[in-house]
Amino acid sequence: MKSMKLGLVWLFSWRGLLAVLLVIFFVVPVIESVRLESLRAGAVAALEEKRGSRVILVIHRQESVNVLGIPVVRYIDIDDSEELLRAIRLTGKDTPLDLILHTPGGLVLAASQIARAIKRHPARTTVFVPHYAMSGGTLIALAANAIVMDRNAVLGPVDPQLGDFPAVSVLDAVQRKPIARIEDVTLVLADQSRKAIAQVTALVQELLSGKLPPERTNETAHRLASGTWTHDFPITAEAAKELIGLPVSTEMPEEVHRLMSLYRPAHDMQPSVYYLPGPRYRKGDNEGTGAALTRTEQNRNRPIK
Amino acid sequence: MSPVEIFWFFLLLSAFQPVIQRRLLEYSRQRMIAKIEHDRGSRVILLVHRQETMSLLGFPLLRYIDVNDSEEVIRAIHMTGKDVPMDLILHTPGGLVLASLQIAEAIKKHKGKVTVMVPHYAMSGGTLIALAASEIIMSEHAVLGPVDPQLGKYPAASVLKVVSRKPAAEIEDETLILADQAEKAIIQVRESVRELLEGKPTNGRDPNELARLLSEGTWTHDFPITFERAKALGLPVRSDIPEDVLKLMSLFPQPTRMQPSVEYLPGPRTRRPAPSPEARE
Repeated sequence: MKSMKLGLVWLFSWRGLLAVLLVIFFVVPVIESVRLESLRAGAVAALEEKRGSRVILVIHRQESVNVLGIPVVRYIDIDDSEELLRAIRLTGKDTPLDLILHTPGGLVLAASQIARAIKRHPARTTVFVPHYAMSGGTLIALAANAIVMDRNAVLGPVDPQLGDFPAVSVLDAVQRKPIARIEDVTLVLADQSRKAIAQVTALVQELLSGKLPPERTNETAHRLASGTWTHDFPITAEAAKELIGLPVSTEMPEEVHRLMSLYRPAHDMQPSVYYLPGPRYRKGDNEGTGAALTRTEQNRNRPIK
Repeated sequence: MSPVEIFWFFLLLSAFQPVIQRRLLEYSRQRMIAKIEHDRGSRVILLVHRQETMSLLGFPLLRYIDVNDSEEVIRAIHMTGKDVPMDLILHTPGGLVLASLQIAEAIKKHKGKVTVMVPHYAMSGGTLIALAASEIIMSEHAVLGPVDPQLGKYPAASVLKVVSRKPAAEIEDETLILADQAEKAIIQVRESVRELLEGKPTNGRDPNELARLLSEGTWTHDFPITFERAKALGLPVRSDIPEDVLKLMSLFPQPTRMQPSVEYLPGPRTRRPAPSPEARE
């Protein structure tokens, strides 16, 4: 009793309060991040265990802000390709490779390095797309033996972009105008565009070779790389299967979703999407809209007066 | 307790006050969502974009529908049974076509009934999402907007107009580059809208015509499509938004540290019954 009282007195003294503040502002965040890190490692290990493979994640989130409040854009860069090639090198020749992609795309050079490394890997390679893998991400996916997309996930066209402009649009502009009236800069860009499109088309053909019949390969490569659509055009799983003939399945393992939910963006701002966590499923069969929902926490179900 | 201890105590209390306040707000939001879910037997998802002021340098930060949002919404849909109805509450200026379309397609694929509720506004990408729903419930003064694509600063439709009015040789190179994008973007959005409207009751209006009106820049991008106009266009709109949804929205206040620009005494005001002549005497 006496020691408790002494403890209370200490807690409300200078030192006690300082210690409490220290714990709250420094120790708790550290514990949180360590815990999250171990959860992530555990989830990756579980997936590797289940599939008997090496699992690699490439996740690019638009991390909200840096110190100055300017949004930071993340994309596939050379650091990523270096890291990824290192991981592939550490993987045995007969160990399957599972790549989880969540990316808006990035440098063609970096993406093509990754894609070629995957194509060259002797064991089975699978790319999982839980949400989106545009542009460079799609290029990487094309290299894999199998693509597994969520029902709502999308890929994108791989037509090259020069700075702000899509290469195909530059070529289109040059064609519509008499050459003498075109600005020099645009003509320079046009030359680059022509080469870039040819190179990416060839790369896609190379990546798809052996997976599709040759005439289909050419058609697909042309469709994806020559700007049939705008660069942000969503290619859904069905479209990828039917229009393009890619080896796509929509059997996304639940583990991948669980893993992705451990890599949520850090919220320093008010979140814009809001819902009560936990699944909502009907109990038994449907009984109209008033049917009871099963809940993880029953008491949430109580009407509030 | 010595004065120093009291000082520390207050310092600690004021340090925790914002945290406690946030927790309380959080709790009342959860209660309200749980109540709506219980009353309607549905999954409730909110997509609310408020313009925030950045703490450090005071830059205003525009919030819009981005890929993180579409990921989070689809995660919520993923955790919802196939037949469970969904209520999506939208308050947004719009956002990326890619993200909005992903949400719209996911809603369209959902087997249970999907209701989009618009308590105040859902422009552009928000409207695209609303078009995918089986039913749109707008409050009386809420607005939707056209879904014509924007390229950077310029509406795609306007870029095309410039190109069609001037001889190609006289048009700036950049405008021509944009025009190619604009053309593709408009066709893609129009086709997506048409697909979203497929199999929906349109009140006798031609869905192709509706898709064209909404996506080809008939109006400026900030044109308010009111409840009456939405109805006239043939959209499945209703105006009986549940009172609880409006209450829930008031739990998502504008996060700001500045002086609020709209002020009034809270609480309802109803006209008092006119005093009878006897009472006046």
